[in-house]
Amino acid sequence: MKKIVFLLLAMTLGLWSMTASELVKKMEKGTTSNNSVEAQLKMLLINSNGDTLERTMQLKTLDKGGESKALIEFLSPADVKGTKLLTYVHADKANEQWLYLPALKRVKRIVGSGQSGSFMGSEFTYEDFGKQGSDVYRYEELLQESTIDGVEYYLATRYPNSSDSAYSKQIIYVDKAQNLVRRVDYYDTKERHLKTATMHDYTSQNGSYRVGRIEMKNLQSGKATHILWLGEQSNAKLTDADFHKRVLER
Amino acid sequence: MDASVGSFYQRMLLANAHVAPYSADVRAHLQAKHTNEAQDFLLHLDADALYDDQDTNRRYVYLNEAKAVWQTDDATISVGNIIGAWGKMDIYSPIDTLNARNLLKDPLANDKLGATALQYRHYLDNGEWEVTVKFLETMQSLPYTASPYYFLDPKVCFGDLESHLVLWRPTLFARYSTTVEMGESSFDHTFILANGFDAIRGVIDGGQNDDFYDLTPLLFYSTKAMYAIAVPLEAWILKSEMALAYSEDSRVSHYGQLALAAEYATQTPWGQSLLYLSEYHRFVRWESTKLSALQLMQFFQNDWVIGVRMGLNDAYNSALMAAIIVDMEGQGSATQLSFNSKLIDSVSYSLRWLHLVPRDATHSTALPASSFDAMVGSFLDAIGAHDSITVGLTYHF
Repeated sequence: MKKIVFLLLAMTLGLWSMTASELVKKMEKGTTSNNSVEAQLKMLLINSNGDTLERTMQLKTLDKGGESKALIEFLSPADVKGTKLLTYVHADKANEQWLYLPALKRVKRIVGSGQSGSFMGSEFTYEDFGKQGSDVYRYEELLQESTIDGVEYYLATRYPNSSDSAYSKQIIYVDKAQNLVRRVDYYDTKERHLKTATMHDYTSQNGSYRVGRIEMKNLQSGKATHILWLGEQSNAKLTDADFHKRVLER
Repeated sequence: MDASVGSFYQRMLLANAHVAPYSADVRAHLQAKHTNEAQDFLLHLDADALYDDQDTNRRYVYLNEAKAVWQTDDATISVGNIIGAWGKMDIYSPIDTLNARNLLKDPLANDKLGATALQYRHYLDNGEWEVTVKFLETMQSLPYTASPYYFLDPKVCFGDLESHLVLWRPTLFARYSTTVEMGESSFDHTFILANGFDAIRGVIDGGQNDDFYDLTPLLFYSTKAMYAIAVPLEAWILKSEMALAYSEDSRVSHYGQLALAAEYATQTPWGQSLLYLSEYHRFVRWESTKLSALQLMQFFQNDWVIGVRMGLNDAYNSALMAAIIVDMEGQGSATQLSFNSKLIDSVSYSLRWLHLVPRDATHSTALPASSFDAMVGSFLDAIGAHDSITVGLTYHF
């Protein structure tokens, strides 16, 4: 009898608790829009002594359902000004990325494990700027729950599908109130805790949430990178033409 | 507007009575862009200046790019001094034929000289086509023979240009590039047709004067068909370039060039990015009685290049590079080891060790006492022994 009661209780809890699939759908509904965005970003590179270097970038993105395109252009410092990164995120195949190096006037394709390398010396990888959708990761269906500083979170564990990923797994912290990702713990290929990203200053625009600041801390090197969104413009009326490979050389 | 000023010091490690023990220079670079409000017209200026403390040949101000550009959504028209990058190869590209190389700044680097041209480029959904008319053939200069930057034996002198050709005969280029999707892969193809001045320069024997050999530079016309392909396969990129040239000069044979390359990207366990590179280059001439690869100043006749680039992934974009060119027929080789980083955000520095081994390492030069014309093999066989380190410091405004 005790066993039956326990089983019924477990089944009831299972019916009422959220699964990872449901959580991912809610997260994507809250943060994805069929929209184009143009923003200026400031990137702060902070070494283990606290010394800070600043880079500024222009970001353009275009989301179209499961596919998206992004163009990042460096505006400073002078020696990397004009460097551009174009990313195509596909629903049915691997991401495509091209890097334009103005000093050489060459467009260089980034492939495979090149995408797991550091993005311009930061604690972000090219992969971090790629697609973050549900088809890129395999999720553990069972969610954990945790309360940190009075805020309740779902904790979802996800594993990259790509064998070229720099990560063995990621644990994402989603606040229960708004279904927004507030933190991501990244684990390296040896399953050691490598980095933690925290997301701040979300703003709601046209029914979609946009992050205002991401702080990425490398726990192994002590270095950190902060990305701040400055003057973001939603519905920037960007089209596919703004993300054609021609824009790299212009 | 962006600008930089740098100073480079090259020190010879190999004592040679004919070569100055060091070279010091100052380099300046200025880049400016002006775009109108509608963003359909822009002026682009890219100027380069060099001042060597000893070698008067290495003193210049070049407008590498000085062009006006009109652009629409689908097309671009450029006129002025233009630099293009058509090739896929990292070390040497047989199809990158629009621009001559700047042999004064660093003969082994890939600095290009702007081509005075009119260019129309039309963009397609999955590629582009382009027509370029180059109005004036670019003349190249070499460092003084005693300069550490002079890569041939100091006993070899270049005379005046041997050419009855009119330098302003137009050279025409037509290019079509496209990306073809095949399953999960995409193949990048480039086709180029060129007619006019060949990008390759030749040298003919100008006679012997005392202990020195005179070489006379030679320009020639050709019609050239070129093709390149690049295929990404997970962490690999496989590349190939080929060119077939029909020479209009009776001294120069029709010739073909083939380049094969493989590039593999990975990471160290500690997070540094690694890029392994291998390139094979082959030069074939149809008629063996005509000018050889060496006389056509081809570094690559049957040569293999192996290189690795390690990006330290730090905030200063530090990178360590090593490359060796091996002559598969002779014993010549070129080895380069370099490191680039920054002292502070606005000051970058570079270190380079360059080691050139001629065909006969027991001599300071690979040239036989007889004549340059008797040599076979590639231009690598003609280099003098060289061992140097170079330190550079650049301030970015």
